[in-house]
Amino acid sequence: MSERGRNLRVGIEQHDEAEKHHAEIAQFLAQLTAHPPVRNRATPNRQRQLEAAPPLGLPTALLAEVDATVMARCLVFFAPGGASLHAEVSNRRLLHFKADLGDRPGTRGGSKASRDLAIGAAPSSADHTSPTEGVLTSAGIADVSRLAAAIEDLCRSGPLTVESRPPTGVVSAESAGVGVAVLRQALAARAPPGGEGHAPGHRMNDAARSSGTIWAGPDATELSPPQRTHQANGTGSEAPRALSRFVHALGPRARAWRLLTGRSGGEPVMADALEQMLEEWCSLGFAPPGETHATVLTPVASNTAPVFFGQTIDDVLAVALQNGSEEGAIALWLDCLASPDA
Amino acid sequence: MSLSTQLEQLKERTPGCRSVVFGDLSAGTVLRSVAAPGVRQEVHDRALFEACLLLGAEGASILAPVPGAGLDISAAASADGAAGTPRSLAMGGAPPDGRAGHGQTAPEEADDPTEEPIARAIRVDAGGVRLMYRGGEQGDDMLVVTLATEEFAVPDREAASPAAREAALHRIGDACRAVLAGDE
Repeated sequence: MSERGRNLRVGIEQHDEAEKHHAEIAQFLAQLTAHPPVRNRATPNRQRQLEAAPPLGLPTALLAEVDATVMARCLVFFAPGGASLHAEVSNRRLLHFKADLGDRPGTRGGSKASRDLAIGAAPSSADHTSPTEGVLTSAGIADVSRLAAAIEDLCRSGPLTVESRPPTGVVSAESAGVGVAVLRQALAARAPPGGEGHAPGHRMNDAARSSGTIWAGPDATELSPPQRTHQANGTGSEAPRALSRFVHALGPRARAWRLLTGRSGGEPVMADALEQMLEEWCSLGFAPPGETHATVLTPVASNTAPVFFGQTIDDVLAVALQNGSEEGAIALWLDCLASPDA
Repeated sequence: MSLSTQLEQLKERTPGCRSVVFGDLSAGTVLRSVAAPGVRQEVHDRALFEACLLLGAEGASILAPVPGAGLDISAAASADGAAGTPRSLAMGGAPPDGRAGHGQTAPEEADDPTEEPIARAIRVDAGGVRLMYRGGEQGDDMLVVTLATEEFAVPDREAASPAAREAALHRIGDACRAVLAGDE
């Protein structure tokens, strides 16, 4: 090969090497600048598809979009079949919400169902159809419940896409809106039994769903003791001891007590009444599994006993207290928690 | 003294206090709040939402009388109620003179004579200690005081005996009732 030919070959090899290097750099840059594959899958016309994410699936993904929006924006969520949801969002809070659920067979006469909810809107005498009626400065429980229902309906329609648009200006700067945490709890309370993203056994009963209770605990009354022990992360033997020690520490402050696992003490008829209260307490979702907590409720009527509910990792306790001993019971509970091995 | 000043003083005088939220039960609305730095609005919303449930219809349904029990735990309350909350209002019904009250709640709550209205709830969990009081002229005002558990139930057992904690809870309760009653 001539000198010129060798030089040419070396030049070609160097060029190929440089090309390869450039290709690697370009590929690396492309990886760095690419949108995350899950939540930002690009679709035509500037819409992104939402991916179901645990624990609630699409509603969680929808709320994550709200939570990620700080500047004032109008997020429009589209579902197959024409249903859409316009959400005015600012500072991670949902200020205004308009759901156009399209032609749905479940609605009256198959007509178009539209829900326009102004959350925390400034007082307005013009719009008497608004659920807020110009009274609220923040979302009430009923508003949150209706919102959760609308989000649930939309997400049931199938995969959602989202498009971020400039704010429409329908919301007053005085609007407080509602935070994502409250909406997330409301949605969790509405989650169907065995629904998307829910662990088996982690559900609300019908009473809790209809009441809009915020905690999505299991229906503990339906769990057998072995299941509860399994939920207790293998340390179930500690909890009954703690509860027993607590009841013992209460002494004469306790008129009657009852454990969810069946043991009871004190005045017999009152202990029977506590059984029903304990079931109601658990069925309403106030006793989420695996959490240690205590709550004491003091009725208005002075001749009605306060009731203490305590929960450790695998059992729930109800105690009818002497009047005026609520603070003492809470103080003893904190003391028992501070000294679990005493 | 303004309500905001009262809330601020309540927070400053309560060791371990994270937030004080004043709200309306019927609307589920935070009306005033003061908080330690870093406490987000969502925390206030959740505290009030929880108080609405415990002091509202859900809490009342838990302590509903048990038919046939015949004990004072399920006995009908006196007509006048207690703790400064007229029973008719706390139940969501109309005031005794028949006026439609601002404190009216859901009709089903008002129509159910068996539900026992809740005047106060105290809850302890991973989120801290929350004292929830209901009062005011219409019985629909709520005050929620959130205490940090680690500061309230300090490991120093000498300084935080059950008796000391009980006394602290009593003091906070008295202060809350004074705010709800409008005392200065």
